[in-house]
Amino acid sequence: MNMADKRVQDQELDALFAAARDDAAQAPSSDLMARVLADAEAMQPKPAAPVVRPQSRGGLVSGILSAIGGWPSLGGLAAATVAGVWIGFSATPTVLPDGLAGLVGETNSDYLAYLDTSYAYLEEDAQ
Amino acid sequence: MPFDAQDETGDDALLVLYANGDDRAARALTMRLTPRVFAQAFRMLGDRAEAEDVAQEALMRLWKIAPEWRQGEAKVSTWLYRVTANLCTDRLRKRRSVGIDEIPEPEDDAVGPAEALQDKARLDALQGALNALPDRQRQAVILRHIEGLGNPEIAEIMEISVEAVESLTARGKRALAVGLAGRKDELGYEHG
Repeated sequence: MNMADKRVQDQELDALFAAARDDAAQAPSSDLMARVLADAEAMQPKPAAPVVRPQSRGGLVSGILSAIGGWPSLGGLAAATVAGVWIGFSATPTVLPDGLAGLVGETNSDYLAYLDTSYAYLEEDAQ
Repeated sequence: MPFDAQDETGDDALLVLYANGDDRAARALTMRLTPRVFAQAFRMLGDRAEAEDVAQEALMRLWKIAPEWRQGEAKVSTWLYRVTANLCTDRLRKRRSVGIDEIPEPEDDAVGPAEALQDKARLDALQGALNALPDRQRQAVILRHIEGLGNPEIAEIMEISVEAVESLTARGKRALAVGLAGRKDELGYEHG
């Protein structure tokens, strides 16, 4: 075989390969496409469903607890409450010279003035 | 997201979406991969019905392996070409054990204008010559010259060296030229 013959053969083969690439016979039928898609859908893993946490039996109390951050938060809240009460009681002699008794006793007509001097005019008006 | 928008998405990304339950990914992969797999199987086997079975089986293996697919480790198309090639080789071996009379002749049921008949005759001649090649040569020639893949990818698909691919395609082309030389009339070329 001389070079010219070989070149012609290569060209013929290349033309045949190109024709094969465009050949409708090697295109899949719509039936095959449908079968493959049906397999794909049947074998596809299903998306994970969102996890629904079971309702706990604690109801309102546990709802409030979880809203504020659970038991550790409640501990902190209790400590802050106790501290507030203690500060309130221990500070009354400074704010109210007669202590709590002064608020509930007979001489309670002037207690506003002790709390805030801006209320002093009320006492003056009353007299 | 519309289907077209996934055209730019890579095969492996689509496969991950598929494994996550995205039905658009199932459709996109089917549309994209089925024609390639079927074309390869059809050229290897020369028979549409058998090629359809192989294509469906190859893709079923892909759907099955999807949840364990590791992105970036292998190309989906390379993996699929290899699975298809192996399935075709199995079929060809079974045919040989059944007997040479069972090999289907290229289908000959088209009726149309003379030009279409001529094209069909040429393609039948090519398919006949391909069928006569040894399996590995046929596989290499189809992947290189009809599927248009590069030698390194063919080497990966066939699990051989690039040099071995070059040798197989060169020998395959020479054998094809010889096989087709006796079919000049079918090819419609002038006698030289």
